[in-house]
Amino acid sequence: MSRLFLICALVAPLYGAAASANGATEVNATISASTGHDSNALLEVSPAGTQARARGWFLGAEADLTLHLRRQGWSVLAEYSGDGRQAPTFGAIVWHAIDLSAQWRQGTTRFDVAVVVQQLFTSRYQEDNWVGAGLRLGTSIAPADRWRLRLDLGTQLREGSIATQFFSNTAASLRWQPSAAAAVGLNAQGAWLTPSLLNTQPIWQRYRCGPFGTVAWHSFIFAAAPFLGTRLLDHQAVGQIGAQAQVEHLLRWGFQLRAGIDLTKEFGETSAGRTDRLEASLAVAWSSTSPKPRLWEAPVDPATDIAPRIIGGRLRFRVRAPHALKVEGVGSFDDWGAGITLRHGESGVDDVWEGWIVNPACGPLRYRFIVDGVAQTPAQAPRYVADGFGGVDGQIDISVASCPPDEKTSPDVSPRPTSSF
Amino acid sequence: MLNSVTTVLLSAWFSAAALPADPRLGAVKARMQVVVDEAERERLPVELLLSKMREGLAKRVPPPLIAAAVERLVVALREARTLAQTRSAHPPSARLLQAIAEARLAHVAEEPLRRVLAARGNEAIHQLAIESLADLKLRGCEPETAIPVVEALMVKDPRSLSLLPSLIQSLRQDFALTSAEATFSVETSLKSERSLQSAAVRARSDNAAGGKGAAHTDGLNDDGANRGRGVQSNPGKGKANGRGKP
Repeated sequence: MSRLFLICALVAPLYGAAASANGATEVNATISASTGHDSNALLEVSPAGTQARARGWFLGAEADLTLHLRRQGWSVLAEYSGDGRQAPTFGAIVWHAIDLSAQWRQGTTRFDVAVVVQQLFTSRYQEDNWVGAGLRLGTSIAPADRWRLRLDLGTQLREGSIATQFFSNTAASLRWQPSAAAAVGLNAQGAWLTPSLLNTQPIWQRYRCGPFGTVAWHSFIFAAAPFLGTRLLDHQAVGQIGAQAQVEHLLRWGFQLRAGIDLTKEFGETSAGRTDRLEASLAVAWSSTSPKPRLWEAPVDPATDIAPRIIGGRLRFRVRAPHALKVEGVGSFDDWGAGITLRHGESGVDDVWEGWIVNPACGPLRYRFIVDGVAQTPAQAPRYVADGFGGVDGQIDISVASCPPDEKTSPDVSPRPTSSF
Repeated sequence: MLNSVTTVLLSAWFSAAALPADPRLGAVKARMQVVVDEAERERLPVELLLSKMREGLAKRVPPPLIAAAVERLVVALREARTLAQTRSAHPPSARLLQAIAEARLAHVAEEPLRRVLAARGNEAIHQLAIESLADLKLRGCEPETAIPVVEALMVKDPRSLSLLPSLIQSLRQDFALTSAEATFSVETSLKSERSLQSAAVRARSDNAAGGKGAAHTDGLNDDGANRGRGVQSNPGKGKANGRGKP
C-alpha cells in the first residue's frame, strides 16, 4: 500500500506539470481482482530460470496507473503496474513495473522505445527475487484498412543474466453491423534467458490463433475470443484450446466496469505435464478523458471511417487532426457545455482522434470540433447546419432505435438512422 | 399595495430568462438581456437564444459576434413565425421555427420554404424538409433545384429526407456530376422507386452505366461499423518483463 502512495505522490506533481504544459494529457487508472485455478502452471521466477509450480486456487490483484503526455508528432507514456498473486503452492508473488516510453510515427508505422524497471518478489523463493532494467523496442504497422501487425522486442538485464522476450500480434477484421465486428488473429510470444553470453535458454513460447468478435448493446460491450494454440516448454509442445470472454459496462464520470473469464485446456503429453487454467476477473477503470469502450486490443486500422457512428447506444466521434495537440468535441449533447476531450490514436490511426458520448439523447445532435482552440467543421457529418457565427456545425440524428430504452418515444416521423450513401 | 408590488417584482424576477453566467459575456450582457427580454415578450423561443449564447461560448466566439448572432437569430425567428403561419393557424413548434430560421440564416430563399410549408405533411415532415434544404444549400446545391426531389420525398419516403443531402453530395463526388445533375439523377430515379434507398441504388447504377465515373458498388452498405474494435485473441502485455506465464 505504501508503494501505491509513493507512486501517487510521484505521479500527482507530474500530472500537474504535464497538464499545465502545452500539450494533451490523460490519466488512466485500473484496479482489478481475479481468482482462478491452475492445474499445473509453471512460473519463471529467477534469472537462472528457476521455475515454481503453481497448483490449485489462487487470488490475484492488479493496479495500473498511466500518465500520457502528448506533444506534436510524439508522445510520452509513464506507466506503473503492480500485480500480486497468492496461492498455497507458491506463496505470494508480487511484481512491480515502471515503464517509461516514447512513441512517434513515420507514415503508417509507429515506433516505440521504452525503458522498463521491474522488481519481482516472492515469499517462498526469496533467493530468486530480482530487480531488472531493460529496453523495449516496438513497432506497429498498419498498411491496410483491415489488418495491422505489431511487434515488440525487449531485453532486460537482471543481476547477472539477460532476459529477452518477443511479442507479436497480427489481426484481420471484418465488420458487418455498426455494433458488431469479427476478426481473425495470430498471436505469438515467448521468452529466453541468457545466464552467460554463450548460453541461451528458451523458457517458453506460445502461439495462438482464432477468431474474436464483439457486440455492443447500449452501454455494454460483449467480447469473446476462442482460440487454438500451442505452448512450447523445453522443446516440448502441448496443444491448447480455450476461450476468453469479457463484458464491459461504461459508467459515468469516466468509470468503466469490466468482468472477464479466461479458460484454457491443454492436451498432449510432456515431461512437464499439462496445465488447465480457469480465471475470472473483475476490474474498475477510470480515465481522465472521455470514456471509451476499451476491449483487449483494437486489432485493425480504421483508416478512413471518421463519420460519427452510433455503436451500442454510444456515439463515437472521430476527427483527423495529424498535428494537433488537443482536440475537443462540443455540441448540443451537453447543451454546448464543457464538451468532451478526444483521444489520440485510440482508433489505431495516429492521425485520428476519437471520443465517445454515452447514451446520447434522442433527436438531432449538433457538434463541432475544437482543434487546438479553433472551431472546425466536422468532415463526413451526416448533416450540416449553419451555426449563425459564420461557421457550419455537423449534425447527427439520434434515432429512436438508438436511444436508451427510457427515452424511446414515438414521434410522428423521425429521420432514418444515419447512413452514408 | 406592498403585496401586489412584491408579486409584480417577484413575477418579473422569475420570468426573466437567465443568461449564461459566463464572465466572457460581460461586455455584451446588458445588450443580450434586452434582446432576450424582447423575445420573451414576443413569445419567441428564448431557450434557442440562450443556447446560441452557450454555443458561441463553447466555440470560443468573441462576445460581440455572439451578440450579433443572437440578434440575427431573433430577426430570423420573427420571420420564421410569419412564414410558418402560412402553414397552419396553430402556433408552430420551437423546432419548426428553429428549422426555418436556420434555413434563412443559411441564405435559403423564402420561396422554396413557402413551397415546402404549403406541401402536404405534418409539422415534423416540414421540419425535416426545411432542414434538408438548408443542408443542401450549405453543400452548394441550390434549394430551388432540389425542391422537386424534396417534395417527392415528403410524399414517398419522408423519413429519408435527412439523407438526401449526403446522397446528392456522394453522387457528385463519385460520378463527377454537378449538383443539378446529381439532383436530377435522384429526382428521375425517385419517379420509379418508392424509397430514397432504392432510388440511390438506381441512380448509382444509371450513372455507372453512363460511364461518368467510377462505380461505387458498396456505398449503401458502407456503414463504417465498428472498425478497430475487437478482442485480441491473446491478451499479453508484450513487455520485456520476463515474467513467464507459459
